[in-house]
Amino acid sequence: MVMARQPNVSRQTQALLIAMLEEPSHWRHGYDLSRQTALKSGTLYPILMRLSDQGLLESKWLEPERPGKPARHAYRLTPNGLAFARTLSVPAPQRAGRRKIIGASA
Amino acid sequence: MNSRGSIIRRLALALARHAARVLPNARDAWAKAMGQEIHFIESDRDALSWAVGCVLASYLERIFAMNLLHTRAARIVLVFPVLFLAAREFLAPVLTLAYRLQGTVLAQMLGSVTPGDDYHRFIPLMNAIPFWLQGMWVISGVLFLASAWLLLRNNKAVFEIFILALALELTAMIFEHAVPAYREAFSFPSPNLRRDVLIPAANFTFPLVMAGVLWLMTRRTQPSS
Repeated sequence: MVMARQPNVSRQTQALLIAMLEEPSHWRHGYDLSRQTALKSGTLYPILMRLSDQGLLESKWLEPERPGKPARHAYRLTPNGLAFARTLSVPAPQRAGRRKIIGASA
Repeated sequence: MNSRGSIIRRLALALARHAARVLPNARDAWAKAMGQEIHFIESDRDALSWAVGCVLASYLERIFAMNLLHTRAARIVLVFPVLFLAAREFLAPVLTLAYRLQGTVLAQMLGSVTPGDDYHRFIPLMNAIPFWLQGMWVISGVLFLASAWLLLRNNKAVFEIFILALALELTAMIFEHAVPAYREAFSFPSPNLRRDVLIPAANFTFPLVMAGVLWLMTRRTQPSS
């Protein structure tokens, strides 16, 4: 069983969610997300793990695009994650439903 | 890739392997994911930086998985540094009180734990420090004591109370440094690394580290299993 933690939307988590919202259907790699959000791996991966535990993020292994390279873990937001990320990209007073969305995913 | 670069790359890969070993078994896929990314990072320096982050992330996850911070033993252990911070806040007011009430033995005893090991050097400072500043230290000390009590009771308000105490302490520190007698009391004829650098640095960073630990204790929920 994985860790189930309380949603804690730090500035870094927010930056990551908003970055993933740009192309929600695309699978994204850790290093690309790190470069886009300027989050170091030590910050990025705990956030990715937590979002995955909360059901806001899905992951899968993608076959290497070039020979000689290993398979790569890729991520994208789940429908719950998308809904949650969208609440973060709107002004604060309109975020009333945010907790409800998180509750549904936990 | 030059020879130095390849050494850095090998070091990065070794660190990534270490990170994978440290991560809890339930996180195997994540360990592999972090490590594999190194193969897609062109710069050796960036790869090393990435690997260092992986190690950090792995140890953090390991600590959370062990859930050490939520044990009663951890709370008991952490109470002592919080009590130490409280005692530190009470030191100057009690020393001043002892000096004013002619409690020489107590003043000498407390003076022995101050820089210079003698309370006499602080007499001008004790005379110059305003009453309200002493009051700030006392309130800060009381708040540290309260946070120690809340820590033992496993009350989540411990972090807020601790931060309040810390903020008060730092504010008092700013006012304290503005007192000319303070600078005189803490100027010594010869430099001393331990007294002038190491102890002040530890005094400053220790409560911040404690605040971080308390934040982790109160902000992270316990694993579901």
